[in-house]
Amino acid sequence: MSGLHNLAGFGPMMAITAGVVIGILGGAMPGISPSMAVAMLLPFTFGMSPTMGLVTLCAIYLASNYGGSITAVTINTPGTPSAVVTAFDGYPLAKSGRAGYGLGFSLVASIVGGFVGIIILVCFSAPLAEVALKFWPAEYFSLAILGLTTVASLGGGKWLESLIAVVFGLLVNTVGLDHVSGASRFTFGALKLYDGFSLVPALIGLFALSEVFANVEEGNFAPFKSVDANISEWPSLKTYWAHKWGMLRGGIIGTIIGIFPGAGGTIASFIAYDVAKRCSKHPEEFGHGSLEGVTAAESSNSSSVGGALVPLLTLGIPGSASTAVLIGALMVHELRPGPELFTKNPEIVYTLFSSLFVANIVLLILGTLGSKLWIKVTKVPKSVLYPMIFAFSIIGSYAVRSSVFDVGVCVAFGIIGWILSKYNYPSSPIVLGLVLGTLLETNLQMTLVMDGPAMFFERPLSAVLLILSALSLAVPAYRDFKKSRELKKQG
Amino acid sequence: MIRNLAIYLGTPSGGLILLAVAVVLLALLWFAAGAAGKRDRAGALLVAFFFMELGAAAILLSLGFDEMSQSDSDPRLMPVCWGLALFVCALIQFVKVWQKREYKKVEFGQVGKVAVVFAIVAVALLVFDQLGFFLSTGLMIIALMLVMGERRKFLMAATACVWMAATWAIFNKFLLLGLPVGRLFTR
Repeated sequence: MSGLHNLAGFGPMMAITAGVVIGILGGAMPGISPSMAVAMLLPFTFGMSPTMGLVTLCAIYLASNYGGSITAVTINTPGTPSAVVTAFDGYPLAKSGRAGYGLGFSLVASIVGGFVGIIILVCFSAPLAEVALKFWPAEYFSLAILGLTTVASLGGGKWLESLIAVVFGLLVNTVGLDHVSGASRFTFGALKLYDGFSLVPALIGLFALSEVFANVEEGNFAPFKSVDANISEWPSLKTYWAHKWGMLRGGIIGTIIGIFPGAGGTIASFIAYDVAKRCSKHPEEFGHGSLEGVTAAESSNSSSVGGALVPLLTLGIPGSASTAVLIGALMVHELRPGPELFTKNPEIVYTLFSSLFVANIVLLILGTLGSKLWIKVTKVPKSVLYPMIFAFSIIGSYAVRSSVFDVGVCVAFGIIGWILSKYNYPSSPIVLGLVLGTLLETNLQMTLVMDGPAMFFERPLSAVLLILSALSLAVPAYRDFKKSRELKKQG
Repeated sequence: MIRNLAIYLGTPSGGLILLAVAVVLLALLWFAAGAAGKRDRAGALLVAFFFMELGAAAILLSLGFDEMSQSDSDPRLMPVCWGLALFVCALIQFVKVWQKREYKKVEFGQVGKVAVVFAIVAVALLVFDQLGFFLSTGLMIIALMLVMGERRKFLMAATACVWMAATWAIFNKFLLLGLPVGRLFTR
């Protein structure tokens, strides 16, 4: 209740409303992902209190997941990767003149999924944080390793590329003064490198600029085709109620998957869609405008937000690219993500929980009232959108430390991200490596100083986590090896 | 001797030498890939090889790090671990790409345009101190819009003006984070 009390007043409500509007707009614009929207808007929270900054960013994150479905339904162009599955059935609905059904169901399913995710987050995070408080550095180290290896193993066919990206991020994180001994590493005598690479410019470069560079290289400046979707006919409450179990199921699946590092809304929506199809009495309708399909996709990708916040808040381990950016936000406001956040800054945690509930209600209102307006957003010419992203990126990078060097870092990471994406190296693992590098190193050094490397295996939880890490790498490697052997046999 | 070399390579001039060696090796690999009939995958090989170079360089440079006598921790530990892991993973990737029978060539589109965009941003950064944040980013927005095919003068001017006014209001007035106005205007 104290969390809700902190939200009373004009300022917090404005922050949430602005976050939801920006999130919907960002999500609706193809080419702007939730992580990109959060990264670009991060600098605008510098002048706010840590609580209000986080509340705004979480509202953006939550709303951008819904925003992505607007263009998925109306023009078959998912605004976010996680809305790809929504387009499978949403666009056929729009083509058959029932765009209102597609948009209505994507909104309500997002809201229900969002609530499911938040409720699970609230119920499980405090007990989990209590358990995490008993962790020793060995457990933290092993947990971070598991987080990183899971990200790599969830890269599917790109597990090796993901692993290289993770290690690259970890290596880049070592630049600067060693946190424990104070020795300078890879600075080449440059004073500006003594603090290492600032996280926010790297995030903005990897998530925002790399996308723009990719679009510039493709010469992709043509405006999106105009929208003439019929959104006059909206579903009745009875129709929504008939899909309540589908929404709940999608919400639970999305939350559970969202908890795993690297999985995120996209994988959640694919799995929930598949489960819904298997459970449906009309599986033949999937892909041809099934309301169950839209429901599964949207409820799961929205609930993954709550799931992804569980490891972030309780363990300090980000579960997705967007939560990696949120860790950056916490660090900028000098807050340490993890169980200590619950003991040292409980007001921030509980205000954040309350704000997610409020943001979901604001999203329902704005999503219903502004549906026609959000569709118009797709008409913003790319020749205007991309220069604005550049300008946002520059201001964002500069505002961190008032340093032009940081802007250069942002542009450099943008180029690196673009080139690597051409060769199938994902950006998110680099960010996770950058974020978790310090946590890994500090806890490793502490464990070694305390009791030597044996401690990793003497503490049961640490040993289990390390074994799981090894398995999460060994399984895709073995699968890859087996596949290449089969290909060789086939000649 | 290796430690002395590592210490030297960790200086600004040593860093330049390291960079030059890396570029030469990448160029040699480019020609070798062509000679071996693997030009279609040269880009992927170069990326994997670059990571190998990075891993090797990290291990080599780590040998020159100062050891803190009063500290139990070793600043070389993580760079060596990550450098080694990067080298091994990139080597596996290099071999995988090299041995693939069929490889879908990665096509690059308008790289020239990317270079122009990069140059515009670089120039905006160079004049940042002189012109200040608002003017340099405003001009950058107009230049980028031109490169991206926008020809409506009013739209370009309006976008730049709205951007400058909005950022000034948000950062200087609302968030109280002063953005530089430039030496040109503060004299």
